[in-house]
Amino acid sequence: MWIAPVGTVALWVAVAAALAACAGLYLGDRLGRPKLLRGGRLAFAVLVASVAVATGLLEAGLIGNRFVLTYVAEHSSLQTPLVYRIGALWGGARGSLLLWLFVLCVYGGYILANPPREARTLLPAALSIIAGAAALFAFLVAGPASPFATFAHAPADGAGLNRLLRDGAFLVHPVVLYLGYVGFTVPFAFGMAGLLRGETGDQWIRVTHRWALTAWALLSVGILLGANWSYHVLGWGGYWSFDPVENVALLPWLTGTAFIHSAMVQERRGMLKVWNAALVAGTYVLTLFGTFLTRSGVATESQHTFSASPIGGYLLAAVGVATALAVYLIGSRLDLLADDRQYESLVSKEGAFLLNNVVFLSLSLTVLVGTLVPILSPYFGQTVSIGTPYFERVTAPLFTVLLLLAGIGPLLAWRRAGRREFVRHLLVPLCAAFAFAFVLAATGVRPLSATVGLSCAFFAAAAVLFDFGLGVAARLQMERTDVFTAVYRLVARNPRRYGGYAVHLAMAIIACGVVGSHAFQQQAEFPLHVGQTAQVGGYDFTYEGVGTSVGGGVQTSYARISVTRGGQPVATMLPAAFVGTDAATASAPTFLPAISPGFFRDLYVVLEGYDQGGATAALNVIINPLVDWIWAGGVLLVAGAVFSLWPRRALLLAPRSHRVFALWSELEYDFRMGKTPEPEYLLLQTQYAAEAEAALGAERGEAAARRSVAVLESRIAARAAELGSRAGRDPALAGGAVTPAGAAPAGGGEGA
Amino acid sequence: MRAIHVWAACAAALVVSCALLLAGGLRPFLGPPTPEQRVMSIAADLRCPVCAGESVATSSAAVAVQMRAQIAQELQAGEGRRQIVDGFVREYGTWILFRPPGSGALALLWLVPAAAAVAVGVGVARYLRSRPVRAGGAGGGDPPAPPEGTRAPEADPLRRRLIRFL
Repeated sequence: MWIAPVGTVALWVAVAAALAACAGLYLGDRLGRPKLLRGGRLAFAVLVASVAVATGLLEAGLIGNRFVLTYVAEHSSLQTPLVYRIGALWGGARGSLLLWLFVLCVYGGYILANPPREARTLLPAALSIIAGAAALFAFLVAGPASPFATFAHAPADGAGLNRLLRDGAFLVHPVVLYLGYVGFTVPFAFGMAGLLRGETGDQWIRVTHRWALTAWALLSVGILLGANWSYHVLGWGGYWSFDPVENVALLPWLTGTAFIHSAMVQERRGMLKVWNAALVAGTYVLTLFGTFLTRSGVATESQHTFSASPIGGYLLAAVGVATALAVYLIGSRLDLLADDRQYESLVSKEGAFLLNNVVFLSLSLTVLVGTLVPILSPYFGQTVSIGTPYFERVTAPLFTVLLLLAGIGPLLAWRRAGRREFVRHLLVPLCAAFAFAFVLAATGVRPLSATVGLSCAFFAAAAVLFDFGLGVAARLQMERTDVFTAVYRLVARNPRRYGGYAVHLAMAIIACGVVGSHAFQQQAEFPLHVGQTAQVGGYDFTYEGVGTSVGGGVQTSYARISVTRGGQPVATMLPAAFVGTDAATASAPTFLPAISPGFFRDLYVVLEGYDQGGATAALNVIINPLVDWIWAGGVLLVAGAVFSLWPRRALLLAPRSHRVFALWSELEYDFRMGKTPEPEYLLLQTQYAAEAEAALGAERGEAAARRSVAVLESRIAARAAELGSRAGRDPALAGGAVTPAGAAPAGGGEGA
Repeated sequence: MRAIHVWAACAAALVVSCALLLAGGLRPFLGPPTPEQRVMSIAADLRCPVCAGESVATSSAAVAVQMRAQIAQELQAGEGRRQIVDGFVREYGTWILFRPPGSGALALLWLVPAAAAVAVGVGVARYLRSRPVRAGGAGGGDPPAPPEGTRAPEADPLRRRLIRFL
């Protein structure tokens, strides 16, 4: 069986290549040796290729049912359908580490092949850091956690994929999550590269903006997919329990969200540099920490834990090294990271983003402490358990503040927003939210905290929509067109902003879903005889009997529940119990809930047990109001993020003046939307005009210089051609026949 | 009526109808907590003794089911939430609680978010005080602003370029 040895060799080659690339690129950059850089880039290419080979081999082993590989035998079987055999690559700890490495190499390879023009100088150092990160994971999968371990004798069949994982969401959730996690390595690499080289401007932010946003979107979707899977597979009626593994996925999301907002300030004003460096480093370290926690067996009480593996120590060491590196780089370059400009007013987007950072950081610290205390407490004597109720109670106020900020932020102008104008604008969504809250409370919606939560979400949505309206009005002021053209042009010319607003709207919708499904959940469990009805939340659930079916290696028993409301039939639900007929899964049955979705509520029924013949069934009935708003919000989130990433129309101008005009046009919008008062507007406008003048002038000068060089070059080439053709006709001159390159000095002297 | 009044009236109507719609949709699920919900609410605070990190409310283990039944009995007998929870703590130890107690050293855990926010906020405030917020003309790096002129807006070539850019 050749898959295992070739795979193992490929992985060790990957380790060597990664180390070589890391060293070569770093030293080549540091010492200025192009040969080392070339070698480093070659080593990086070898790394990407060997990891691709190893991953392909493991997939081939899975698809081809090569049970001699222990990994294949543990996660697949003869009866596992093809699509789940492919997915088994990430079904176990070792395969998923290989997937992580593969994604990292794909990203690195992409950057190697398409180097970003603006950050050329940062490229070698950034690739070196990526190679270093890859070296860690390559070492883990080559050695301690190798997926290519083999049996002495191949078993006839495998154990099959865990029944809980045989689900569509599972196929996608880890991949999307990893695409997001690993995606943050790229901004981290460029950020640290900038610090290493002492280039602490905003090139790294500009260049990695799309990476960071894409990684964030993928991480968000990955988390939502995980929640969705937990909801419709695990059967407890919820989707998020602040499990340690869920928390370590949430932590980089929190710091990552703070980063993509705060990065905007550095892009425009060169401020918040320390925050951004710390946030991007923190996000990366937290992704490493998450991997450590999930695989080390330290967090034993989690549904997600892979079996404990020996690699925990290595990952913890990696977390330590990465943290130390980041702390050292940031700490020693603090003077370089000083703000380029000052806050002109805290009542501004800059101020709001600063507050945003504070809240997100507090939230992250809270979740981190809450996750670590139960893990570390046994070492300090008393074992403390911290679970869902603590996290919910403690994070709710901070999330509410974030929701309010998500509404307030869009209403503020850059640099200096007029206080009076801001308050006037704020009152519109605020009054709407109060009216909303009043109506809800008056119609009897209790508890009050739920009304507050829903109203804050409404405030955020109303603020975003109001700002959109202001934008359309501003557009109509600038150009005499009809409303539809104005809307189209407004949105098409500001995709980042309106994509972001769509995401804020999605967050408000998700918040409503979270509040609804927590505050108004109805639950009851009871046994029912055949024909008996029970009422929960206004719905009547009648048990009609049990049925069985066999197929696909699984025996399914399901209960037939018909649901009516006020006499009208609503749904027929079939909560099921699965017993696997494969070897290892025949032991315990898995219960799959039946879900009947709806705009205002989900009906959720779990079969908990039944007696022989199904005369009585024990059911758990849960009604989750508004929970589908979470998934719907997730779809809008993706749409918003995709729109935000839409390729901009080609730069109308050279980069520097483009940036100035972009900032100036934002000022223009801010003024027309009534956010910036006139005196500030006129002052800032003259500043921008002067900057634009300077930028255009500099670019004109550069263009003129380039033109004269081009003229020179064409003259040289013409002269060389002339001399060459003369040499062809006159053999005496052939000895002195010159190539265009050789003609350069002679021609240069002529044309100078 | 002026256009703005029409807009305001429409917006108000929209807000109220959204709220009414939502309230109507949620109506079947409102009401005082049923005995079931009270059991679940107490059970959610207790850790299932035999499971991997699940609460008594969400676990389907036999022990958890039995504990829920016990809670239901005790509630019916008129015991309060505090008493019931304390009873379980006496039986299993403080480890059974899923939230840190309200008193004692561990109660400090409840203050973590506020403490974090205050700590970070204070750090930021001190930084801001050391670099005064100044809305003056120069913000380091910006060219000094001449007294604002009255440029004819559209005639200026720069502005024309800006308009095309918008």
